[in-house]
Amino acid sequence: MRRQRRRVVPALTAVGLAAVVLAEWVSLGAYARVDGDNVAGQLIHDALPPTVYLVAGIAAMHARPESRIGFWLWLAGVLTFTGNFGNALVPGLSQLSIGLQDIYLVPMGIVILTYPMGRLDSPPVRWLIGLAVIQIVAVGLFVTASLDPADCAPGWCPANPFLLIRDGGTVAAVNVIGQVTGGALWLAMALIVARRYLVASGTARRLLLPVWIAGLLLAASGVASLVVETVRGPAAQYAYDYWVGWVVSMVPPVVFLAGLLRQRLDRAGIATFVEELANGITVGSLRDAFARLVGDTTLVLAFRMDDGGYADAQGTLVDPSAEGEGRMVTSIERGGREIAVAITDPALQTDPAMLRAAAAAAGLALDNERLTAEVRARVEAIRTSRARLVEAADAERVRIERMLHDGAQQRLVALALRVRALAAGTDEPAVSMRLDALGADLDEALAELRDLARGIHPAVLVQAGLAAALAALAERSPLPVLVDVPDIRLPAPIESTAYYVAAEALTNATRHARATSVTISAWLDGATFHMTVLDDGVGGADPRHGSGLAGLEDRVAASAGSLTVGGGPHGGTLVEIRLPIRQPTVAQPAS
Amino acid sequence: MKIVIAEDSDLLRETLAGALREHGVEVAATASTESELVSAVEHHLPDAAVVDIRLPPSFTVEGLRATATLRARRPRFPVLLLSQHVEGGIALKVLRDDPAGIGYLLKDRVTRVSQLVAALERLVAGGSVIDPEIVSALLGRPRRHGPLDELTPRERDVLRLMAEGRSNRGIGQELALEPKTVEHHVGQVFSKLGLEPAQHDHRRVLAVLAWLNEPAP
Repeated sequence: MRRQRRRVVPALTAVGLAAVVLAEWVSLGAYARVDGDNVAGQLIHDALPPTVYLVAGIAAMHARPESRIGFWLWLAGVLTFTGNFGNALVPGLSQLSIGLQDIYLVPMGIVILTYPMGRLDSPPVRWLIGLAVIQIVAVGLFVTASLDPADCAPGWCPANPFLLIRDGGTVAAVNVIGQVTGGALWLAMALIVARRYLVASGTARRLLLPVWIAGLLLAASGVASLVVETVRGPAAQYAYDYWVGWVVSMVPPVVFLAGLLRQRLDRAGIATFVEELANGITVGSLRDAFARLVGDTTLVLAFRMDDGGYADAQGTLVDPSAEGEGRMVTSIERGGREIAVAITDPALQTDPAMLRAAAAAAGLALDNERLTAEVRARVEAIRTSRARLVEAADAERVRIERMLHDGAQQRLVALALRVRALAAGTDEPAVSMRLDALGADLDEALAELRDLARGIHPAVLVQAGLAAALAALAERSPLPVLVDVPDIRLPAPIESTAYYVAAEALTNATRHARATSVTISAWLDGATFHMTVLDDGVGGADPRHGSGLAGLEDRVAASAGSLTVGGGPHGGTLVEIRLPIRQPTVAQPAS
Repeated sequence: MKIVIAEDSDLLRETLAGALREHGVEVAATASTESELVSAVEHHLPDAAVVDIRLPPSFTVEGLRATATLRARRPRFPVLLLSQHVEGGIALKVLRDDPAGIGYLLKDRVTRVSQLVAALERLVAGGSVIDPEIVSALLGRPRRHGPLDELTPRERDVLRLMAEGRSNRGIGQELALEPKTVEHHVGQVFSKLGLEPAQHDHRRVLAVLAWLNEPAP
């Protein structure tokens, strides 16, 4: 495409230059025939506006190869010279040139209707341009066929081989038809431009600004010309058109060119954009940053899902082909795989390189985000599976504890009851004594069984919660233990984890720390459960060296919490856990 | 005395019912679930109920819940709660609303049926019964030097019996003391522990247990 442009632009430049030279040469001949007064000035006056079109067109083609506006401006410039050939004393060519001198209005119309891309994609625009070509050519050919050299001063006009119509009435009637159809076409164009403006997004409206400037300027100049004629007469109008109208006619191509050049997306913006991405950006704010960068508030960023569909950051399904109606869809790829699409205003087509750069940067960020999310999801999956293992182990402990209490212990109690009944019922003192001893043995077995069950899982934890369970732990501890724990129910995994950590810390304080007292405190801070176990011993406990706290560290991590073991503020050992609460806590009823 | 028993283990329930009947207690009905217990009490209007704390379906605190239901309908309805393990924290919860007529014993105690019947009689008379194991655990709990050290051995015995829910008369019988002497010891205990002295029997068990359960040291 670039190569093509390199060849096309010089060729068009050459054609344009040739058109200028040829037209001026023809005009020079005509002016020379009239009089020699200020021929050079006259030539410059004639040649300047079309040359401005040519130059603006070529510049636009060079700077904005994606837009065809440059070509249409160039074509308008070239075709403006058509009228010049009316001065040539060549039979037929002169009359054709005069008849078709308005043909430059066709590319001008295309510029106005299709700015900034210059593509004839829209059916109404194509219809309108087609009708305009037919109207201009038809009216032009009629004019050609009605030009009678006899009306000219002698030697001014060449013979007209196409002369067919000599009836003045017909000429006048066709003139009216031409004006009416011409007016209708201008009106249709104004309607299309107005509709385009109304349906356009903010970005596209800003981009359409040159069309408005050019249109309003030309319309204002036309009105001013009429006003001058009414107030000051035809001579003043001629002077106005010759100078003011002449200058005004050169403004549109400059405005269009300036508009196209201004549309270059902010190159400095992409640096900011990349910086924003590097600082870490959420998927939702990526869309906003992207929209800011390209200046399109209507931008939709849709992510490609595994099933081939698309969804935006909110998870709403997006259909780019339906969404793409009159919109531009830019694919964002990573490693040859489409990961998202940006759906934007088609006006952004004027700088696809910039859009591609933005899409590449966004792709990098998205891919990074996706990989991070993937790793996070995997870590979370491992954590939840660990949490499930812990919960399953807890459930199993509860089950075993229940089996001991509700199975074995009940049987032993019933057995002891019967033994005691037998002892009471017998008259033999020796038997009675033996049975009493048996009953006492059973009592001991029951007590041992109870301790065993408690070690497996303290039933009080399930029955009355952490505060009661820790109080029971404190009662049996050989050290004085202060328990400052709110009497609220927490999710079972939190209660179990906190209980085991407290029990282990208490064991360490008793066995290794030579502590004389321990304080267990717990509190809720929002959705985080905190517990500290502080002793007044020698300190120096390390969870990684043999202590049972190492195993509990894994258990705490499975609840997405943290366990730290360190020194207390005034010596001793401080064990601290934080556990996020995922389920709502149930406040213990007052009764 | 007419009672209802709620116990999910068939073997224990029937053995216990048989043993109590032999001791002259009328077992009007037996239940194995919370709802069976509530409807049996409504139907038979017994003097008391013997209730296992852990009943189906969850085997956690169904017995406690049933007790609350029964006592909401019949205030101070005597209930003797049995548990495979006993804890001070649970005892306080059980006694908190109204200790009168509430008993909380280790299940093992049922093997000594005469003591069980005595406990039931105390409950029916409006007293409370707290398992000695709880009291001895609370009393034996390691503490720093404090008011408990100020008690004489006899006062300690009085404190223990108060915590188990005994009345002055019960304490006098247990320790073979004159009512006046018991009153004196009780006054000493309350004054040394810094408790309000003018407490009714069934209220003071809660006060004493709460004091003992206070976070040490």
